[in-house]
Amino acid sequence: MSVPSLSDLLVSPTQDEWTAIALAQLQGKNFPTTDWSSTSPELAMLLTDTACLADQSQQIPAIVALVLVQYAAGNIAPTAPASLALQFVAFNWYEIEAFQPTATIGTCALSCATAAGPYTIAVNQLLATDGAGNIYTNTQGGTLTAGSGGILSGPWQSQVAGTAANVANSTITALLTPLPGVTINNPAPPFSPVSHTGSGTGTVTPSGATPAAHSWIVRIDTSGIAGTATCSYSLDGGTGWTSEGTTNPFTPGGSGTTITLAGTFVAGDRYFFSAPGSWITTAGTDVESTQSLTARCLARWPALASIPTTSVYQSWAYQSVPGQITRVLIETDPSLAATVNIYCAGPSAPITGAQQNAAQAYIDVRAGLTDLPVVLIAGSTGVTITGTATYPAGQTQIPTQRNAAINAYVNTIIMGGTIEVAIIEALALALNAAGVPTGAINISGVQLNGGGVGVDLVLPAHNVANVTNSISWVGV
Amino acid sequence: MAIPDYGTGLAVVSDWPLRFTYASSFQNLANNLCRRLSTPRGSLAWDLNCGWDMRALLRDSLTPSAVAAAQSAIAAECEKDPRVNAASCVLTFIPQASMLTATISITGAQGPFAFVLSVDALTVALIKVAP
Repeated sequence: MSVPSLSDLLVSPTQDEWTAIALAQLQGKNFPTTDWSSTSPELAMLLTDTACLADQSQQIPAIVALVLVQYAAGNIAPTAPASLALQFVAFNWYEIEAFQPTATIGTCALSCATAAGPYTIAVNQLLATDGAGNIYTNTQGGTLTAGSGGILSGPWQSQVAGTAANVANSTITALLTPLPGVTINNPAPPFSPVSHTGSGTGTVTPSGATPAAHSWIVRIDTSGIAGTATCSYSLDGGTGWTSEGTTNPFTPGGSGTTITLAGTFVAGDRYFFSAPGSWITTAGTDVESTQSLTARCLARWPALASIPTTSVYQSWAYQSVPGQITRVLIETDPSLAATVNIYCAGPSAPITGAQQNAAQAYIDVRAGLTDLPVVLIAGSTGVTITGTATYPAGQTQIPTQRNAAINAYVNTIIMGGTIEVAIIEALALALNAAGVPTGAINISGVQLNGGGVGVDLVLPAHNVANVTNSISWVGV
Repeated sequence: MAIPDYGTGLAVVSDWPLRFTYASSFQNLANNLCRRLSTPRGSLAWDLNCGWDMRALLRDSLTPSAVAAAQSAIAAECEKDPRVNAASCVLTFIPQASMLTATISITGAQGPFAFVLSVDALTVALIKVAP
């Protein structure tokens, strides 16, 4: 048996139906309705009223939907920003406020050429752009020393909140506030910060000037101090493992990375980092997605129970670092009893170690004593999109806008999810309601990591995509 | 002789009165036709083919051939009303006042009658109804 929908239950009369009702009422009161012609003022007034009634009738389902989460969410993509109706329901029925957009914060470096400078840089003095419409300003001042080699690194913040400003490394290269002889960049650090799960006090430190790109996990296999404890490492976010034994430090071949262990380690502990790192220290976020806000609302009742469900863990993860955890995967650990692994990722990348710790702390105080929820950082798998798209020459905004839409789509894919070529093609074309492309004129040869034209890509388990959009746009 | 039945409706031609009264017989039909002849075609969502705005005649150069064509069009517009069997129209231009008078003769199921409209660039007024 199918469940009736709101539209099945609430039938809104059309204007014709309202007119028929009104005419019947007036006829019953002896109004000469059959004498009215097209130009009769009575008919004009009646039809005006029934047009208003029909319009108001259309509002009834929308009003009723304001008490029902799924209907307030609307018939839109789960990854789309939560509608105003859903935000209204979330606040007034569940006392949950939707996460509002936040700005991207990351590290940029100013470089001073020979014979230029020194410069004293004030807070918010400079503006820079990635050339794709995102503008950033420095939130820290300092002195940029004169001559070649003078570098001032510090935090920069996007002027507009949202994930669009979470741009790739080495793309913020144009200063909008000119300083003679000064250039800017947002280079990738060799490694991301190392995050840790477990109770050991030991530290793992990666080093290397130009490391190969990997999603690292170092797992402690037997407890002990550095040089005694044994460990294994994974280069692909946990899919494959290599035992390293007690060697310390060690440098896996071809990785360009040396791992140094220090202190005391506990078996089972894991240390996560990636190479290269990201210039972003705090990812920009959009308005909370429909999927996230809906999940948090629907988990309000289950959260009151003494036995946490998957949706409750998911909701806690979303709430622990508002807006910064947007993708959550819950799995019971296959080997450790009572352990629930909570894989988390942000709007455009895996979460940071600090965010992991914050989420773990948030969940620990809420979980039952016999439960062992473990917040884990999702792995990151590089995904390169290639293909050729044509667009009307002169409309130079199209490649930027369509690439942003495609990147945003890939960045919503859950861990281990499937990136669909058909959706990428549809986002590039951006067909309007009449089926006419408003973006690319045509797109062809789309491949994901060179896996074949039109072949979808399934991300490895517990991995999100680190997208590189290399679609070739040709103006015609 | 029985009073011709051309229906009953509010006695409104253009302006809203302070107090509504009803019109019937020839007056009601003349009111209807007057409104029809001051309604731009396509402006009524419920009857897009209704209307022929006589005021438009005075917003352009008025030639004898245009007057002749307008007379036919006005008669045809009146004949769209199901109560009208046949209609004819005589337009007279009064240059001193930049206005037209239209004498429209109607033959209907309830008998013939005529009415006179005064038309300027802004208004269409019903000035006489004569059975």
